Amino acid sequence: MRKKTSSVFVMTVSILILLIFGASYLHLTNGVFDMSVMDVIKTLLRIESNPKFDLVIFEFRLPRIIIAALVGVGLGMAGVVLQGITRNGLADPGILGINAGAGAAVVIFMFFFQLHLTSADMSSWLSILMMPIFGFVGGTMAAVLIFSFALKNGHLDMQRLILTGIAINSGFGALSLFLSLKMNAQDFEAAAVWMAGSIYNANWIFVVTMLPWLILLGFYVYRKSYLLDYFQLEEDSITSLGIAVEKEKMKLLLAGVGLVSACVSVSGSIGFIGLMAPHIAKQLVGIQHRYVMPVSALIGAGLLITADFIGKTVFAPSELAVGIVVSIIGIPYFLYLLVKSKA
Amino acid sequence: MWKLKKTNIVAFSILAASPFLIAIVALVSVMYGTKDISAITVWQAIAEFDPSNVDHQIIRTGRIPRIVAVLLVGAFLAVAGAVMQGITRNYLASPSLMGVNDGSAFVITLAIVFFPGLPNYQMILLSMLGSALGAGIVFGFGSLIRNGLSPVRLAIIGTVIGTFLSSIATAIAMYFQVSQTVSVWYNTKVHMVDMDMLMLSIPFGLVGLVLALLSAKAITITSLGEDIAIGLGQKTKAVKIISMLAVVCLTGTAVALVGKIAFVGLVIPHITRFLVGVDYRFIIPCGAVVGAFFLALCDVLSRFVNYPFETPIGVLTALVGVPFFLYLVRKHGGEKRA
Amino acid sequence: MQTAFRMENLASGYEQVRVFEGLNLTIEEGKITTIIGPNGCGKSTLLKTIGRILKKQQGTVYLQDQNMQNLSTKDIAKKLAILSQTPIAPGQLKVEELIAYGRYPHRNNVNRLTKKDEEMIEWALNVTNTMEYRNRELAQLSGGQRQRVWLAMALAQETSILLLDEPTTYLDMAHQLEVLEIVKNLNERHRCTIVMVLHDINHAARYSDHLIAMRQGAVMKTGTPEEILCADVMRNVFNINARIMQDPVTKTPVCYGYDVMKETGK
Repeated sequence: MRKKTSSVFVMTVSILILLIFGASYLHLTNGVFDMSVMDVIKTLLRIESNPKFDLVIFEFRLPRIIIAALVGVGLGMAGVVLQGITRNGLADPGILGINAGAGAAVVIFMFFFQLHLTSADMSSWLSILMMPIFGFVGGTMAAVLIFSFALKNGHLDMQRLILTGIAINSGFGALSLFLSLKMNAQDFEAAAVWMAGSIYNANWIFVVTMLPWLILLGFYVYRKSYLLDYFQLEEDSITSLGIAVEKEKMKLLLAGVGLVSACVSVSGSIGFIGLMAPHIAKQLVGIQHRYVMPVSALIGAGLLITADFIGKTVFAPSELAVGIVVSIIGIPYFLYLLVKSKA
Repeated sequence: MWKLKKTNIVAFSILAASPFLIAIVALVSVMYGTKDISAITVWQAIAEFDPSNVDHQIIRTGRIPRIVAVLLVGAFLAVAGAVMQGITRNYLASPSLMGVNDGSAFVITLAIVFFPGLPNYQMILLSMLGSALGAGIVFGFGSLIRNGLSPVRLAIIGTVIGTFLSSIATAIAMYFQVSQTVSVWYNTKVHMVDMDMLMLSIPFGLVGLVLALLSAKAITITSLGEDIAIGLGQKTKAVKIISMLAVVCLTGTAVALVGKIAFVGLVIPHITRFLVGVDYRFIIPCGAVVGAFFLALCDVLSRFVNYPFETPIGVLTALVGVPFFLYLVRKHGGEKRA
Repeated sequence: MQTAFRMENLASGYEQVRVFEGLNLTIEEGKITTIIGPNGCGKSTLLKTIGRILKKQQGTVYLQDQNMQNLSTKDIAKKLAILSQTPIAPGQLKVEELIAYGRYPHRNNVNRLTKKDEEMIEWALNVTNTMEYRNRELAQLSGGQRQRVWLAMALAQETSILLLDEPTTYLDMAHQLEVLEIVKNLNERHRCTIVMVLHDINHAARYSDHLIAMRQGAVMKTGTPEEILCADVMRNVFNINARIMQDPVTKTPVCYGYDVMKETGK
């Protein structure tokens, strides 16, 4: 029985990795700037280097794909954590307003540091590294607000949670809007695009910014994923087993918020990945979280790369922000889950 | 039949004071802004209009239309929200939370993309259609889901569908390369009120207000409970249809005039109920007054919060609305009624 | 004899409500002790407090002569297991997987089961007669089967003390006895200390060594089933005029009929 699950797991992971490569390939070879497949391969393998091709591949497309993948991984894992902690399949960092909180904090950061998001000199380099930390503070504040409002007699009331999330979303959204309007025109444009959730401005600095957080927190969350199995029981049973429920949930939650913040700081608010990826993962590999977690990460990556690809090509020459593409896919899925849910 | 036990003093005082309150806030709104204009000049602009006087122009073409629009929209949204809350017995029912505003904006976007240059009155009608569409989808989904018509569930569905509609609208606008125009429509445009649209919105909105007032008694009965309403022999279906028509007229007009403004339809009915009680024959008129005053106040503040720049009025309504909303959720949770 | 639990001046309750206070009680090791009483008397609260599921508001609880406050929750989990009244688990979980969860306090590596772990799981399946559905999903089990599986999970925890909060309330008559027989077996053969909350006083009398009768947050009387199941105590605790006799088969007291006490002075 155990053996069967682990072989399903290995198979699923392999297929997903293949799919991701497929999506990446499509993304890499298509775009406004025409390049043939051979050109792409040659550039990647550094045969016959052409500076124009290099620019497109290495400065634009590749970082973008990598960020899409990394953000997808982060959101996929954070979604598993949130759904496990709240024991609710509709939990998603976007719906719960954590994205909005992190986003508002990053906008505050952008505002105070008057950051030009694409420049790459040393001082702005260092300040860019600060973004995820700001995001984390904002995201945590949002999480604290949401969970404290949703606690009813010590129990987490699901309805209140989502409702509060909606309020927090509006609130932080308004705050972000307000601040962004105070910026000068150039920053405002960039901020506006970023707030919609986009990977348009992706560059290697962003990758460096969020990668350490992703690796650290990702590992932590994966190692503790077994706790999410236990959290499926109710509080009393878990306490009986000797798990310090409050403490562990808090630690996992903070890690989840950290993951979300790292993602939001480079890509803006992208919702619904954290909703869909865990569900699909559970359909594929069952409910053991040590399998669900990595699969959800891969699905998140695949979804986001594909969504970005759609946003880039279908609306050429303009680009539809990936956050919007994901919403268009994600909301019907959310409604479908809502119809299906029993709670 | 319905006899009042004692006269509703608060309600009558509000209604009596309303002309003064509104006059004051209107005057302030017209006088102060990027450029302060004295009260005398304002009077002159109305009574002895001099087309060559820049100030007079600002007042006539900019500020007066703006304050009138704001007052009207405030009243319309407040009444729409009150009617929705009364009919659905749902303390969270409001045009912004139940997809009504978003439905309007969505249809307007489609209109701009596919049929640019439509006359204003058709835009208003389409906007109303959009309101009905939005409400229909949201309530439709609500009835599909178990317990879906509970306040909390419906609010979630409403918000989600609202986001969905606006995402699709954005995608369509982008696909057809008209995103600039659309975003202008989408974000609130109190500072760019179209005079013609304003003139049109008065009759349309008035229809909505009248319908609402006419159904006020019936709404009060419905708000007490479905069983009570049926027991008292009320034709619940007819009441619901007429009220929804009122809501659609009011929100359609509001969105067509100034875009989406959130929280007014949620917050004002609660405040009004707190002041004047549960009789919708008072809630509706007083709500209109309170709503108009509230939004006008927000508009004035929006010009000064970030002087000399303007803040979108939505930010101010959110400033009041979000804490209030949280307070409501904390107080009522998943209850059916407030 | 070492006590399983000793409570001094114990007070407990929920957020704004204090259910009981000033409680002094001991529970003996190796015996079956049952707490009985009318609704709201505090019996579940008491059980949850000594099981540290509910945080005490005042006083001290000694678990096997050690102050519980000084023990880590994992250490406590190695000594006592609690089965709560309405346990929840995802329906797709398999029986054997749920029981394996019970091994948590003893596991060092969460991904692999040791031989000891597997032994204990086998033993738990055996004692609760759930061996034949070890691979079935929880959702496919009946109420009685599921309750025994939950009991098995508590047993897999390998503790010397077991706390059971109304383990029979939602079961039909046959399954109720089934569970109680397993509990009795555990106590007799494996010397497990059992503390349970039961609704049915006849079951309590039949299966316990010791009874604690509570009413409105106070312990009215403690003693053997014979001492508790008598007219006076029933009157004071449950407000009923009970008719007691001895069950000829089990030789334990049984209440075969009762009437509600009339209001005095009316």
